[in-house]
Amino acid sequence: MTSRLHPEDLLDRDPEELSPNERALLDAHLAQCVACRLLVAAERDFAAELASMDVPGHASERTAAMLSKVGVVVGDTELHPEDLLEREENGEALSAEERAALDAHLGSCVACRLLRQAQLDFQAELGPDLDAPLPGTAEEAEEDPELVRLERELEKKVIGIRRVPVTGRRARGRVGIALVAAAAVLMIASVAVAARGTRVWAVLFPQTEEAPAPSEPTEPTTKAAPKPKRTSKKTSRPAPTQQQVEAKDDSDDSFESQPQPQSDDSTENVVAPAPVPVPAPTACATVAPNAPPVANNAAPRSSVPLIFPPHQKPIGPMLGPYANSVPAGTVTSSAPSAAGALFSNANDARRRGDHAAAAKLYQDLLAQHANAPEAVAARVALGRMLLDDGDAQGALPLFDQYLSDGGGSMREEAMFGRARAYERLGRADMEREAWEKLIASYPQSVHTAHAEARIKELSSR
Amino acid sequence: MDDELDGQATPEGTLSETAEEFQVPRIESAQLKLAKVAAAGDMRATRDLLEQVTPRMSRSVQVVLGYGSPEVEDVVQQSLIAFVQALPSFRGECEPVHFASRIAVRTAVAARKRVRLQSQRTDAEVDMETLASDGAQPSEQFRAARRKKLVLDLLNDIPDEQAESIALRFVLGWSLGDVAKATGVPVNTVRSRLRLAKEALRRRIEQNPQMAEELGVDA
Repeated sequence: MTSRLHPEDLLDRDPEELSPNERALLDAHLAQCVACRLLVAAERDFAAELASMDVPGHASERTAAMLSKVGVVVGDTELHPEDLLEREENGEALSAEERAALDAHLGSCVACRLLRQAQLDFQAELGPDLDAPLPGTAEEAEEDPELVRLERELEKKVIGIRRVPVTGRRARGRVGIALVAAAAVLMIASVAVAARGTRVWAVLFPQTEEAPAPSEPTEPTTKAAPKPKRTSKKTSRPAPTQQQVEAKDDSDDSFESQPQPQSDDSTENVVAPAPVPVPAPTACATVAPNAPPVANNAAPRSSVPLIFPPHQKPIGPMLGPYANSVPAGTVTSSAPSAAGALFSNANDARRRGDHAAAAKLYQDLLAQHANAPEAVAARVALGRMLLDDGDAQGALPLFDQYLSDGGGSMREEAMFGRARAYERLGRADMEREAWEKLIASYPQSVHTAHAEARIKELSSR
Repeated sequence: MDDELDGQATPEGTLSETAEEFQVPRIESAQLKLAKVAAAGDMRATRDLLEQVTPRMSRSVQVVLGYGSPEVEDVVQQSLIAFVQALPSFRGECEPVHFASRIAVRTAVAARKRVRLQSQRTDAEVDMETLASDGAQPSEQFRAARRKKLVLDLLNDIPDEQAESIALRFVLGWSLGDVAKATGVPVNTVRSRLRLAKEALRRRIEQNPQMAEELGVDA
C-alpha cells in the first residue's frame, strides 16, 4: 500500500483485520491527525445512534457490519415491506412466511394500515378507468344548464389573440414561446370542444364549412399502465375564483353555473389561486385548428379566434391582458329561450335584492318549464335564497328534488343547503346524516370544517 | 435475434433500435411514438397526445385536491400547459401518460401547499385531530373520507419528493417500479421516501390515541 495523506483504505477496514504493519501505520497517522481521530469517533457515535432507531433493511454492508458490532442485526426485511404490500395488492399469492411477516408488520404499523385502506378509498373515488372520457359528452350537454349558459356567453364574448409584426431572432424566440403557450391553450380548448361534439364548435366557428369529427378512439396505451379503477364520481362545479369573477361582464350570472360563496355563518377556506404565469408575448398569432403543423419559429398565416373550453371555467387569467379582446363580427348571438329569459330575470331580481319578485319568477319557471335546464339550476338558486331569508321549510324540498334528480354541477351546494335546512329546522338526526353525506362525497369541500363542527356539536348533546 | 426484430412493425408499435444498455429490443407503444413526434414540435401530435392524457391528468388533480376544490380546474389547466412545455425534455423512460400524471400530481401537491399556506394566514381551520369521538360509530363512508383527508393533508407538510411518492403510490395506486420510472430515481430511493413519509404519518396518528380507531385502522 502506498502511503497517502489520509490512509482512507486503512480507515475503511475493520481494525481487527489489519496486519501488524498496517495497524502501526494507522496508529501513527491517527496520533498526528486530529481530523481523522474526530471522524473515527463520530462514526462510532452515529452507529450507536442508528442502533437506537429503526433501521431500514437496505443499509450498506459497511453500515450493517458496524451496526452488528453494537448488537443491531440488519436483515433483509424492510422496515415497511413495500414489496409484500404491492404483491398483496396485485392479488399475488404469498407464502406462509411472507403472509406471517406481512400480518406481523401490519399489526404493528398504523401508517401501513392506514395507507393500505386509504388506497382502496382512493381507488373507489377514481373509478375503474382513469383514461375514460371525462364527464361532458354531447348527450349530457343537452341537459347541462352550465353548458347552455356558457354557449350563450361564448356567442357574446370570444377570446382572440392578434398578430403583431416581429423581427429578429430573439423576437422570433419569444414568438415561439408565445406560440407554444397559445397552441397549448388552443389545444386545451379544442380538446374540450371535441369532447362536446360539433354543436358548440358550429356556434363558435360559423365560418368553417364543416365541423371537425370528434377524435377517433386511440390505441390502448402500454400494458404497464396502472390497473384500472371503477367509474369515478361526477365532479361538482367549484366556486369561481376572484380572478374569474372579475373577468366576467355585467350580463354574466355566476350563480347560474357555479355555487355561490357560502352563507354568513359558514367556515370558508376559499382562496383565490395564485395567478397562472403567462409568458408576456411581444408577438401573438392565431392558429387555425385544422392548419398544418407550424414550426415554432414560423408565423402562421390563417387566424381563428381562441375560445373558452365550454364545460370549464373561462381561462381568462391564462390569456393575461388579451382576455377581454373581442374580434368584431366573429359570432352572431341568438335570442334567449322563454325559460332562459325567466331565469335571467329571476337572477337579476335576486341580485338587486327584490327577493319577492325573484321568488315569483323562479316559481313561474319551475311551473312552466319544469324540464328546462334553467329550472334545474333554479331549484338550487331559489332554495338558497329561501334559506337565507329564513324559509328553511320552503327550501328543503327544492334541494331534495335537485338531488333526487341526480344532481348536477351544483350537487355540493344542494347537499350543503339541505344540511343547513335541517339545521334550521332543528332536525338533528337528519342534519347529522346530511353533513356526513356531504363530507363523504366532498371531503375537500369548503364546508367540511363547518360540517365537522356541527357533527361534533350534535354528538355532544 | 435482436437484428431480426429491429425495424419490424408490431400491433403495439414499431420496434426501436436495440438500446446499448438493454439486452432485448425495446417495443414502443403507440402513445410513446406519438409523444416523440409531439416532442419534436408537431402540433397535431401534441393535440392528439393531450386528448389521450387529459382524462387521467384531470382525475389525478381532482383526487389530490379533492372534488369540489375551487382549485381543480385551474390546476388541471396549469398541468396541461406544464406537460406541453415539458414534452421536449421527455426521454421516453416511462409511458407518456405516467409522465403526464406525475406532472399533474406535482402541480396539484404544490397547489395544496399554496392553498394551505394561504388559509393558515387568514382562516382558523378545524384541526381534525382535535375532534374527539363520542363513542358513536361513524359510517364507513365518513371514515373513508377522513382517511383520505388525513393522507392528503400529510402531503402539505412533507417534502415534495416524499409527497409525490406517497401520492403516486397510494393515491393513484402505482407500483413501486412505476413510481421509480416516472420520477427517475431508483426503486430503493422510492422506498426510502415512502419510509420517511410513513414515519411522519405515524407520528401524526399517534398524536391522537383514538384516531386509529376512528379511522377504522386500529390493530
